[in-house]
Amino acid sequence: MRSINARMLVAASLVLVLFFTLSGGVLDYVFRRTAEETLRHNLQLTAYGLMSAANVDPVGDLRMPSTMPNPRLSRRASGLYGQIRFPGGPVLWRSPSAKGIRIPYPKHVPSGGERTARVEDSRGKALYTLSYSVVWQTRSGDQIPFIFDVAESLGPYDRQLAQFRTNLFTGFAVLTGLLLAIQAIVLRLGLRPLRRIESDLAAMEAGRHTELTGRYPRELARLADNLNALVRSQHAHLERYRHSLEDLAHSLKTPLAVMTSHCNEEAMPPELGSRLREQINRLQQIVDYQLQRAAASGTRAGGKAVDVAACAERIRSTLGKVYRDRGLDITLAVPEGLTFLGEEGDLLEVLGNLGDNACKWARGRVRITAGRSGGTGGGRVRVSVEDDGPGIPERHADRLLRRGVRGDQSVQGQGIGLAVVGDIVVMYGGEVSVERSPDLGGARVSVTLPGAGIEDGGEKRKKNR
Amino acid sequence: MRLLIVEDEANLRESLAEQFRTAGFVVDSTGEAEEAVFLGEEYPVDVAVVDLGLPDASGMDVIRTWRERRRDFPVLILTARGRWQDKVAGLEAGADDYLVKPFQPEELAARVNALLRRAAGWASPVLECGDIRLDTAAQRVTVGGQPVNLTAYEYRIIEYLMLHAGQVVSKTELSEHLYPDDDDRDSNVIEVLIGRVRRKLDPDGSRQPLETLRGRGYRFSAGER
Repeated sequence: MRSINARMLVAASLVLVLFFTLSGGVLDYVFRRTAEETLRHNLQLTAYGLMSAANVDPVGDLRMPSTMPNPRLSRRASGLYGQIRFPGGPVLWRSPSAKGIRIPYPKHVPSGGERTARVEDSRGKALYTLSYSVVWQTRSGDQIPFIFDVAESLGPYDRQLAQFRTNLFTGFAVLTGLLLAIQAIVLRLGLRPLRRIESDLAAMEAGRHTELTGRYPRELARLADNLNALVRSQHAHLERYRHSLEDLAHSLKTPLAVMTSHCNEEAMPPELGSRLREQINRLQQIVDYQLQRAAASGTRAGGKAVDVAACAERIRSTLGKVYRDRGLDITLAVPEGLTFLGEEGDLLEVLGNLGDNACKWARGRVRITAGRSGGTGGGRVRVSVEDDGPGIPERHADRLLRRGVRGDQSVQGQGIGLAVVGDIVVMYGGEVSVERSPDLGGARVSVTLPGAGIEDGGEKRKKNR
Repeated sequence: MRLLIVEDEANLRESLAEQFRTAGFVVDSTGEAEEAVFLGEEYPVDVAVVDLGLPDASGMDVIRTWRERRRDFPVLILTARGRWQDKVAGLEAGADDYLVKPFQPEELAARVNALLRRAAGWASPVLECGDIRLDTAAQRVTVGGQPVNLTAYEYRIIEYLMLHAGQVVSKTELSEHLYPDDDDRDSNVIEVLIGRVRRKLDPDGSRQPLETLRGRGYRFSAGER
């Protein structure tokens, strides 16, 4: 029940079911009451018919005509029955329809009143009975109490009720289905902006867009605007930060360069010159390390999908130009469409530093390989740079990764390069590993970074999960 | 060798210019992008060192402009920003090498010398013409294994001629690439220098490495390699 859509659908269904159950109950009750009332009314009419048909002679004997007021009373087992009796005494008359059927009418009926009951006759059929207690005044002035009993079969009534209930249930089921379907459609339409913002966010995450670009309804537009503003301000902040760092780099490094060149002047005593140069080197190294580390962004939000193959090719052609004299064979094995989710500059920094180190140490061959990471969790790319040089001793690897410590003072930049790579990779939540290259025999440095396998990163990543 | 330095920081520019002049280069220098474009187009520049962070325009634009106008001398960029993004962009704009500030002057000299050699089509840092060897890294010339004592100017003349070994190099070309323009461009000076170089490279006259083609210039014999 994570999605709003499912929640609303379930809630609406519950309300619908509750509503239909209640209204079904009420309708059923009302229908039953009405039907029962009609039944009772009919029985009353039958009883009155019997009363008007009955004659009591002056002696007090009851006489009934052979023609019944209601023909159903004459037809045997017609479902309408009647009888006349003395209270607590014998039955005086029984309608022809009731021949052979025993009906357990209620024994006691309040004098001058009436009584209804549901009973079962001797054949097990349900009946609705109505008994009237009346006092008959003869012409001679005698008062004789009688009880008029009438009974009507409940069969038609039950059938009617069952029919009504079937109709009600079918009707409500169809209505419920229809309403739920309409509800689902309305919800879909209503929640479409939410779905759109969801897919737009996924696209941002995959690096296909830098902003939420769709048109959203008023309620979401503010959210989207705020989110965009946040992303933009983060970008602007990062840019400003970088610019000020560049300015700082420029203003720090140029004086250092001037000082270095002064150290070489003839007026400078050689010993003092070399001591100064050593200190300047250290300063330079600290500045390099801190600035490069700080300039690396390591942010994913708003980062575009960067084509790894294109970056590797740019680094290869740059290194090829710089190390042209060495005649190095720099090969790439990077599948097309592999993307890195982050800042292009950070990937170039990682590839550049690793490639540069490899070129410095290689005897003749350098190889850059990349692919989707086979490790836990999809959405990562693995980039390795290896060479056929002497390799990096294991005891140095850790030190090189951790700080701007130089492994070999004679080759400029060795220590800083790897340390900067380590910092960038850690910022992206990746890992660096240094080992011996199984093919080329030199060092192999591998890093994992957030990325995707194909251009349309989002879909692919979902499949991978 | 004519070197163009484009660097806005006056201290560094002067110091670099001084360093390269001492090494026998003809140095033109400027701190502005516009002038840099002009100098690169109008002067017979052999190699340029360009700082990427110029105040009026990016050094990258300067290089791009040169390349668009078919000026293909090698360019080394200096950058304070050590980011690979900048290095890659710089080299894609047409530069041939980069150096991150601050740097050792020796490093810069070595890179510039390597660029010059490569631009002339030599793959190895040691130029060999017969038994005359010129080590561009050590800046030393040996004849038959014996080191030759040379001044910076003499070394640059031999380097220029050997880099273009087998080609005819005119006197004007030599003076353009080896003398600053405000100096007196008297062709006698070149002839005197050539004579001196000849004596040093070939004291007993048995090798004849340097031909004079009357009215056209000089040609350094490529020799049997």
